[in-house]
Amino acid sequence: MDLSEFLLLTVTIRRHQDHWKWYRFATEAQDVLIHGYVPGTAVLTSISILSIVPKLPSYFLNPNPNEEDKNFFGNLTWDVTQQRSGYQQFCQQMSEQFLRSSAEVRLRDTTSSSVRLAMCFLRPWFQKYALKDYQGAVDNVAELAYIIARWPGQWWVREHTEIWDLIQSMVHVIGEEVRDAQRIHALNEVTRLQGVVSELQLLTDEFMSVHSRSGSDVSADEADLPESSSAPVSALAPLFPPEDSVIAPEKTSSTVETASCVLTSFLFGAFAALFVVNSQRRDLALHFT
Amino acid sequence: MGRPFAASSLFSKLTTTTSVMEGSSADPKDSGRFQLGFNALPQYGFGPDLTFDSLVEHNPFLFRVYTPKPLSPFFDSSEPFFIGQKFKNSYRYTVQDFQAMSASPDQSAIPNSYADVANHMDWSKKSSSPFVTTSFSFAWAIWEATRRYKSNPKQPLEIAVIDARAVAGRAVTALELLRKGSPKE
Repeated sequence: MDLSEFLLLTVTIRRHQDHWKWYRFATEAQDVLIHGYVPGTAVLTSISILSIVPKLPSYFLNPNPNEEDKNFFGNLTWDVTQQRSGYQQFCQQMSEQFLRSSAEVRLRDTTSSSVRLAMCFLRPWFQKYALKDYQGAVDNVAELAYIIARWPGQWWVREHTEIWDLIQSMVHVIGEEVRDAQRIHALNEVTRLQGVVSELQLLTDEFMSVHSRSGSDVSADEADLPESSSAPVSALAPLFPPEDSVIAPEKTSSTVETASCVLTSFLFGAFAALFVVNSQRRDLALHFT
Repeated sequence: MGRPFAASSLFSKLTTTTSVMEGSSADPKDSGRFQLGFNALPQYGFGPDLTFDSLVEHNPFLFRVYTPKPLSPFFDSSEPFFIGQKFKNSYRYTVQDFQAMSASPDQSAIPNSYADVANHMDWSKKSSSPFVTTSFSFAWAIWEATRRYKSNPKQPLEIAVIDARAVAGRAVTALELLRKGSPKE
């Protein structure tokens, strides 16, 4: 690009007044913009910051931790409440602390501590996929652990090629343990469910045998009765009442009629007697007076 | 803290496992899926590679600091988990809606001009931005989350880990858009 082209470009480009502020922010945050949406399937995990802080490597934390601070925020080596505490300063501070520490501590921070933090970030996802896609799950956690490991001092990690092997081995061991634990858990669960099913089967058999025995006792009693030849007849009884119950109302009505006749005859006789007596009442009266 | 690390014992314990894995054909180191530190992002900022597409291969994780809200009991993982501010309104956008939008001939797949990123970075216009902000840096996410936590300890904060490869095609680094500038503006 010659000078004229450069001048042309600087003249034609009109940047926003906050351009350089945004530029610095986008640089330090390694900002990525995703258009539209992030589907739930792409979100591997979501972890509370309160769970992450206790799992940070040692260069993030004070060497003499405050035991009383239960949420660990008091043990962080940086103070974000300070006015001039920017992210760049934070990065420099963490790198200095990492490189000041002994080789043993650096090795610990770049291997086991990195795996620990990576596992903290991806634990729910890892446990879900340890059985489904073991190699994929191990690879992903190892990749994140390695990204974490090289963050405080890339050149140091690059010089120690064994760190990658150690991280892979550690995640592999953890993966095996998780997978075996899940298999054992699944087997125990299957055994437990088999026990529940067997118990239900036993209860069902017992119920059936008790029910069938009581049913056979009833049948035997019914068989002793001469008129109850079969159960269906008794079952139909309410729908089709026996002949006796039909006849019974007729019997009742004939009794009433009989009683009515007797009463009518008695009243008629009494009326006739009164009539006769009434016709002779004068003679009788004369006789008694 | 400060317990001496028994490196030699760890090496001896893991030698067997390492040797087993070296013999495995599925070793990602050998398969080229993950190379030792090359094409990796530096601790701060960017190296020579600025574009998302060139970085995603060796930086497969994105991080997003956010305040969680309770999900609907009917939430399905195929539905959008995060959506751009522009789409946060009474209508509940589905993945199919977004796919239809990107397939529409009158709109480009991804807004990728200087004006788009300026619109997103400008706090006063944030509500009209179609982008979801994430970061390649786990450390930045931790730093940002602790900063927000200190300013408001009662606000719940979580860091979401996102599969960067799953959003490839719809993602750009903010820097690659900011560096574009626009002669037309």
